[in-house]
Amino acid sequence: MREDVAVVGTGITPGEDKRKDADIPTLMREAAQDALADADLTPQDLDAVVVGNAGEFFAGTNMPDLFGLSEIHADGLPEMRIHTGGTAGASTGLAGFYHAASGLYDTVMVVTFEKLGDVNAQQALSTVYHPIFQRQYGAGAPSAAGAQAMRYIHKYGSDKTEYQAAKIAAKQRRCAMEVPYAQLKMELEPDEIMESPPLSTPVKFLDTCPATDGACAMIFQTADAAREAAGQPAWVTGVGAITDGVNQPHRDWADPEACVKAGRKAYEMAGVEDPVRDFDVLELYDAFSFQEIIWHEALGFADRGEGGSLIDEGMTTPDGEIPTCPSGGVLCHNPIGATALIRQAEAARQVMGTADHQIPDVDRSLGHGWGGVIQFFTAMIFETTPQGEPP
Amino acid sequence: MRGEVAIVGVHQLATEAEMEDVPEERMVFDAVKGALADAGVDRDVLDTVIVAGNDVLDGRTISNTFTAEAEGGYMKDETKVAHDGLHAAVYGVMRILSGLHDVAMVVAYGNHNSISYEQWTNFALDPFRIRPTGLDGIHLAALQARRYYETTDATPEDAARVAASNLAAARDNPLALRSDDVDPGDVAGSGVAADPLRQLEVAPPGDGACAVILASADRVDEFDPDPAYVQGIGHASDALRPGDDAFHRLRAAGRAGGTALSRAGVDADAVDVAELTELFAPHQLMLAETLGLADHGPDVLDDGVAVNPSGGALAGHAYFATGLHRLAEAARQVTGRAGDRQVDDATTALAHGASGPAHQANAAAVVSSEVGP
Repeated sequence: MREDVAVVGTGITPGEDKRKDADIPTLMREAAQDALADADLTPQDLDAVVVGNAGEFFAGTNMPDLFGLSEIHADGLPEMRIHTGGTAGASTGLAGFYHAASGLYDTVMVVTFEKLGDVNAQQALSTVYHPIFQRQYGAGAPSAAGAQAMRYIHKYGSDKTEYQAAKIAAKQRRCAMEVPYAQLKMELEPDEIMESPPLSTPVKFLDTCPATDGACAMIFQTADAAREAAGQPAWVTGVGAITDGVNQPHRDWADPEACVKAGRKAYEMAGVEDPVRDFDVLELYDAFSFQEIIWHEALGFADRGEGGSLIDEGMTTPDGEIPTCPSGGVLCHNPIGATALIRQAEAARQVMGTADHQIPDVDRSLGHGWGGVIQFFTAMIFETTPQGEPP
Repeated sequence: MRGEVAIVGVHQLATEAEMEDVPEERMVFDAVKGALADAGVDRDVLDTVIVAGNDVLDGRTISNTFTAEAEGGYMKDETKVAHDGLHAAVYGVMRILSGLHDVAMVVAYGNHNSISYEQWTNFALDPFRIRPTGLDGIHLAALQARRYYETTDATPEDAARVAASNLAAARDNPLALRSDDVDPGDVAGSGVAADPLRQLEVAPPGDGACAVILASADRVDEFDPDPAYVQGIGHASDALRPGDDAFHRLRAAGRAGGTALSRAGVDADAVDVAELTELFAPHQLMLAETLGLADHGPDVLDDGVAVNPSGGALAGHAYFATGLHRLAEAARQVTGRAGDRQVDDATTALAHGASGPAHQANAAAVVSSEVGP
């Protein structure tokens, strides 16, 4: 890497299903101001900005980054927008990272947002499907998640999977009680989740993420600047992103090759060899509870077909060996275009020691994302020291 | 960053008014395959792929879900910039400069399906305060042009000369959507688009795609074409302020270009060829001034730097492909591959791309045939 890069500040706006008091530029501004304050920086310190959200059809505006430019102090600055659907937040985070790692920009802010309260999110999402061959019956994201879960259950033949997913959902929802910004805070038992109405079999209502109005901003700096930061920076030591193809007939959502490869790229860069041993906390993009099982396997935390054992054995609770989504995760707070950046921001906060639901003694964390038709996968690894230095 | 990144393959589809029965995936595929063929390599060599596309044009959300494979992005580090293709190229250069990628495919496309440029730009405006007025990119450009004529010595006759000149130049460009043999009088008489803009002064939208392969300079020998070194890049966006005194100054374009030139270590007078995104004829004059190519925009019509020998956007724009068309042209010019539109002794070229109403978001690159200064 040409330049070591660290996160020095983050901002996440409180989630509501509909922020009647804020338009998109306002949400962007709130997150940007919080991140600047967190980093102890002023707008004049910014060298470049990257904006991301998950779609013009959610925003109701074409090129919505231009709409909020002034509010995030980017008027006249180097600026571009990234849009990769559900992982837009992570892709935007990666773009911010590359702006700094290129050596051209020392202080880069990424701002991501979504305002879902004004739209029918699933209707907008359904336009991802082919207009002739698919759109009539592709029912947004839950249908894809349902198919993914069914594929997993069929492939590994376990009758425990549904209840394991319910336990994962209960874990997530309990964690969110510690997180003031989380939209949904619900202390629930797995049985209550099992009894919730089905959304797309076997995925149930309480296995599923909400639609949130919210924004997240994160500030990267190159090494010289980051070392001056008042707090503990979160050094980016590994990045990986891989895209799968929607037209590949052999594609297996229960075994997402692109997720495996994205993780491996990041691990190789960071020198991670044993994920269970090497990570202290994970923020995975579990839009649906079943997905945590699949992502844990793909990212090397469990063998194929064994991912559900992690929740059964208490490995992934906040006091477990690999706490997963102590923030409550996507299940409790989901402003889609910001959500994957929130995974990176939460992972960074854990290293910085500033997370609402802080896990003790975090040296290395992982922020993961997925998007598109379960095809774009991203991974970003944060540590207390730059690449190659001991913690 | 001088001498570190080069363009090693280029392919551009001829822009057409309507590519009937050609889906976006096909356009992207043809552009990418063409660039790989131009470079003499397989997609195996690619480390990363960046596409520039727009959901509203495509009528589908998360457009790169369905273009990813056509981009050559299958099982690669692939991402999408939701701005002009030159922004995507700027990002590609940054990825290579980081040291984490050596070879990047950058592809941009625009297929306007059933939406007009007016609707597309109106949809980008503040939904509460501006969109309901019915303003769009053409009317905002007209406001800029009016301001420009009122505060400088430039006149509508100068803009008409730009249109005539670019349309004539496009006759030598087989990739252009349109070309014409008109004089400035014909331009002035072509009817009002949005006063003071005349119809022939408004870039016609079309369907098009373009792909450019970027490589780390130490790998250029692996590719067939002579490399066009990317010596400097820059980008900047302005908020929309139609009431601003300086609305016509295209400040962000000037910053993007100025940064690119400064990183390349050259002044504007070192530029032999400038390929600018002039969606409206007067804007070529405004861009020339803000980029430092001329103190008085109309001077570029008479001498000095060759501006838009390809015919520019006035010969046809393809939405987000347009800036990448300019970069491709710049690369061709400095490597002697510009055919009948080749400018003699072109060694340094400036490419400019813009997206958003009123030229809000801008990117620029300085390319040259030489590695060092």
